[in-house]
Amino acid sequence: MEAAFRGGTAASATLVFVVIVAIAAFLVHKAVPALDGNSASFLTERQWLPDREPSRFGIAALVAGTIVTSVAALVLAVPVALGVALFVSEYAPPRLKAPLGYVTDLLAAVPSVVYGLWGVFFLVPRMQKLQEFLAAHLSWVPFFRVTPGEPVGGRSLFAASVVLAIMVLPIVAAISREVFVQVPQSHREAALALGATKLEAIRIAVLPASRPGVVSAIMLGLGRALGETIAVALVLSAAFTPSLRLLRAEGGNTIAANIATKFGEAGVPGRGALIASGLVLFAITLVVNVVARAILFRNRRAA
Amino acid sequence: MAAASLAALATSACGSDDNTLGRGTNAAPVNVTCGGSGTLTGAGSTFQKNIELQWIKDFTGACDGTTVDYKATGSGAGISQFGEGTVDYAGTDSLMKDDEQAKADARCGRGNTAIHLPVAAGAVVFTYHLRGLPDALRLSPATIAGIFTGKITRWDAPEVKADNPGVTLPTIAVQAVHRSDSSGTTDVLSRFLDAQAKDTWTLGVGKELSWPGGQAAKGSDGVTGVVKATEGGITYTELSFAKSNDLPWAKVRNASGAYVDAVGLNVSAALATAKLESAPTGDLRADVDYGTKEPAAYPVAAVSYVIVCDKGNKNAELLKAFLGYAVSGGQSGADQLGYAPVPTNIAVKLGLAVQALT
Repeated sequence: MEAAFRGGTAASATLVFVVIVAIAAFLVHKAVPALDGNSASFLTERQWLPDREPSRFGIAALVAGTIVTSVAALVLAVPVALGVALFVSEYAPPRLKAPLGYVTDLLAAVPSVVYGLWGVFFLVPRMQKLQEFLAAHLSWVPFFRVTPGEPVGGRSLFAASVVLAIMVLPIVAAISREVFVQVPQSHREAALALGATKLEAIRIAVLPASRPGVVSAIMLGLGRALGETIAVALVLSAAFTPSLRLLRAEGGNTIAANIATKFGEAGVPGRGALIASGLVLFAITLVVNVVARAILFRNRRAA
Repeated sequence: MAAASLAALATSACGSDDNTLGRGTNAAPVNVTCGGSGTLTGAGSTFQKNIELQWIKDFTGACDGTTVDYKATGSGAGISQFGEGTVDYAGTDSLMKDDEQAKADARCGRGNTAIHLPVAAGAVVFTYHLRGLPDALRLSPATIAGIFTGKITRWDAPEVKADNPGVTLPTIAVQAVHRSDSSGTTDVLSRFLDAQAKDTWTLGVGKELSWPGGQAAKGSDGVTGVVKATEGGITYTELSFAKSNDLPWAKVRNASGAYVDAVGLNVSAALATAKLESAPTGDLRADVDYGTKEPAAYPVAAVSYVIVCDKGNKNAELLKAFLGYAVSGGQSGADQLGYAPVPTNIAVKLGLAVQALT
């Protein structure tokens, strides 16, 4: 019995590795012929025409769009999410704690296609004024710069980032709240007993102890943002000029959204090209995870 | 229910503008000759979807014991499903490529050929969102090319004014919207502009283009949705999508110099001048002449094909009966659904080809 259980757990652990390796092998196997047939540079080309003769496609715009929307989403979502989590764990009266917790969990469970449809039909039209305001008054921020005369707003990278932020927020909030609640009550009481105010108690007792958990929560949120497909495909206007300027109506593109839009009608080279872009997304996610691990590891040693 | 079908009959009889498209009509089907029984499956072109559904409704309603199923999976997917033998016929907006043809021929069996039959015709229209224009906007091919290549950025640009003398155009930016997915509609647009506005149109020909700017959305419903939500927006799409979104569409100048509306008869007039290429197998290809001098022709016209085997079809009796209805009586409802009837010269050849299927 002991041996069988041990064997079972070992098999499960091995399975994870096998699946990861199988995914990587599949992606490489399908991507290589398409990459061989690419007559342009995969890294710098500003078009996605893999089914043309000659085949031309490049990843630059997709990588730029994927990273800029995900990072912008985190910048918007994380402060609010941590605020929600801290309010629920530290400030909210007990009667409110449970309902607030349920609502954040519920938001995290809404399927992404719902966010996408809501984003494109409800949010985007109502955000036009805000986007025009940002373009007019905050154009000194590099991300908000627009060329005069260029259409502003609409289904821009900024609009996509806001939808992503709303999708990421509940995940970060729900996990952070769990983490904050785990901090022993005695730590808070100790801080308060030493004369700390409530804010100081949070800063010296709650936040340091929960840092690894919060970093994990943010990384999970980033993972959702990087891989989000259908909501972005619905909200974002697809363009292939690599750009970090968030407010252009021309929009941009992300790896996952591009796969969703192009796969249906793609030919053999087209599918290979999309799989190659999937490989890049796989690599980005891997790097993000490794970096997150490294941060956590360093923190643990420092503590 | 009875009142609804009466109303439908009345509108189809008057030929008045009917905006309740895509729902089909309850008008009594004419000319259904039943044959065969069992199930027929098709897949492919989304362009054909609405008219296929109408044919299926008419045909299976009149012929007991028959089921026809058409899935609008996209032309490329339809062709590959036909090649794999998982569907009885495919719908496609463009002709099969050589490797696709070889695969389809192999599926049909030794010595048999997969053939193209142009069963559906329709127009690609330019639908726009501009407030306060009394009549339909008029556009020449060069202006359209300028708009979609980003050279014309405002609605009060001199090129648009020249097409619309005496009209006060809004002083707002043009928001051109194109397809983000690979599409037969993009292919038709690019072929038309490549033929008729060579100097302005620099993007070449294809189902996917390297757009210099402008917004993009997925699918015909996606692009029309964006135009509906965007003041100053314009896109190219099948007529039925413009109608179902209550958006106006432009009259387009043909090679004779006339600005023509995309009503069914004008589209058929353009297709009647298409160059036909037929083979003894029944294969029929129409090469649309975008530069037709026919004064009534709406120039941005397209045909969509079904692909079947010339011989060796599974359930050939049912396929013959269904396509027989599609190319004859089935064309009478085309106009109302936002399509155009296949012109007579093509319809005659189609009828013979369908009769010869086995």
